[in-house]
Amino acid sequence: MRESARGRLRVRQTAGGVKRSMRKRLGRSELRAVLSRGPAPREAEVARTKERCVSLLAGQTFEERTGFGEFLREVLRYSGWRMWILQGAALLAACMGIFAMPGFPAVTSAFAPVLVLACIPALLQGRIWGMEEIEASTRASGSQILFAKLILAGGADLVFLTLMIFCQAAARQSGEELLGLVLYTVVPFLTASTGILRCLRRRSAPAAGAGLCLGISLFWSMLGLWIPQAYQASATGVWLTAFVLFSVFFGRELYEVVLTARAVPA
Amino acid sequence: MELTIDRLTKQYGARIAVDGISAVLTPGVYGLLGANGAGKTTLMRMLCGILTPTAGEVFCDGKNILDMGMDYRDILGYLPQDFGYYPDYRAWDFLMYIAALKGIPREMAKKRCKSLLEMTGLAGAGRKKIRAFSGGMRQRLGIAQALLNNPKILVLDEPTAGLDPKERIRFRNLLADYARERIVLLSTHIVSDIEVAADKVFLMKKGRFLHQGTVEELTRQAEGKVWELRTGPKEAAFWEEKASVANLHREGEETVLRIVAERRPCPEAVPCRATLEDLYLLCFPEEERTPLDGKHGAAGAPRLSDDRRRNRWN
Repeated sequence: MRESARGRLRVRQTAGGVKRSMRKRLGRSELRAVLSRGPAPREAEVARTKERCVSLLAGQTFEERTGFGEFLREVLRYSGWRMWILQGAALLAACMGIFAMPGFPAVTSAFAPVLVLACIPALLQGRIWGMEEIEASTRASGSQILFAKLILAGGADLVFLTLMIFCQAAARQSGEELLGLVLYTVVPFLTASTGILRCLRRRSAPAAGAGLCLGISLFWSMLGLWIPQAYQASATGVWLTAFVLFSVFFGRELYEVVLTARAVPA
Repeated sequence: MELTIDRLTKQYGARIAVDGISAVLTPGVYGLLGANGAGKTTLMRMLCGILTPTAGEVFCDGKNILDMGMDYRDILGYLPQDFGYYPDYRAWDFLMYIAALKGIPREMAKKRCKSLLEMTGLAGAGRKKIRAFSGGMRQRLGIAQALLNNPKILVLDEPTAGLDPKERIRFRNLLADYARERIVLLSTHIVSDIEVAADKVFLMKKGRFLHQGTVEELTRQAEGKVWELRTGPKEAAFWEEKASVANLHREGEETVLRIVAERRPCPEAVPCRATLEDLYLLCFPEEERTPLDGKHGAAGAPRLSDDRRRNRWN
């Protein structure tokens, strides 16, 4: 209590001392005006504060970014739907072919690579129109954009291949050789897909990719014409082996192409 | 924010496009000046992480940009020298597409695209197809897409190519506002753009930085090597062939030549104040030595007066 009283006394004495000294320099009304106005802003300090605030704000990132799901939807909106339309057209051609030639076992083998061909314009869009550099420098980068397009293409292919197989089964009016039908469709599809992914990785011209798909389609057609035994139940083992082999190649090419799509070559 | 370039090198077979370049970039505008084939675009591509270097690394605040991946590209804006466009896209579609690639949510992207189209003077052209754009409009659209994600690091390769003087002034003003707390690296052949806009300039030749410094520091290196010579038209043609002529204009009967040379070309030449362009010509003299036609070849060079012939290269 004594200390605090002493402290208050000290303060009062100090304040009185200040006030007395101020009274010497300023009049009472002037003093009252200064005390009621408050301290004048110091321009240099204000400017420095503003600069620091701007610097702090610039250093902070408040912006949210979309996730992969929304990014996929955007890719679909801008280029994916065109790819689906082309794939749909390929499916339509395949179905017409299937019902026109129900007895020809290689009809789905011939049309499966055409589904892959339909994806080429979308997959090579950036390279064809000179947008690769800009796309590669974005958050998505070339590899994520390609990956998104491959997902969209693959999803559609899964559905369309299934439809092709069922059309073929319906045309033949038999479900006995379903495994065979699946293999006769999927193996040529995997062959063409592996080839296209390799063309993407090696940056071959779009025409080379298109030629490859058509060549594979022609090969399987000729196989069906010249060696019809290849489409019999006895050859299922060969088809299964081919399925396993091309699945491995396909998986490897898929991994490599997405990895290399990150950078743009000189 | 600091971008550190550590002995960056890019080699294509026997040819070295970028040769062990090192630099530290802090917020400000940096100009990259050099002739065609100097390695500017290769350097910029490596800084954007879209071209893998043969050797060396680039660090952003101490982290390798290739390891940062998406996080680095998130703060990067890039305008390539030559860029294409999807022909069916309108300007608005193009910006919205790039915004989607940059991960900007749709609603935010709409506001950002609208303000960028206004900022680049394309507000009325948002619904037009890009194939109907002039070269200058396409370039402005390219600048707009580079700014979409409000990047901290902006790399612009020849951003003012195709822009008329008014558009170039608008671009410089935009850059001045933008570059306060950001790193902006721009390459150009238009020396005046760099003179006005850049805080620091790198002069690049054969994959290396020949000189680096502020515009004043670089210009000082050309002091005492720039001369003005008044002469007749025939002699002017001779000097054009023999010397590095930065500028030539007629004043009445006389032709006034601005010559860049290590030594006084002739006694009549008077020294004058150097500019950055003069330093450029000093460093790249072969760029200005375009072969004249047969009328003004060495054999047909106009005769100088006896005094001038005697004192030619004193």
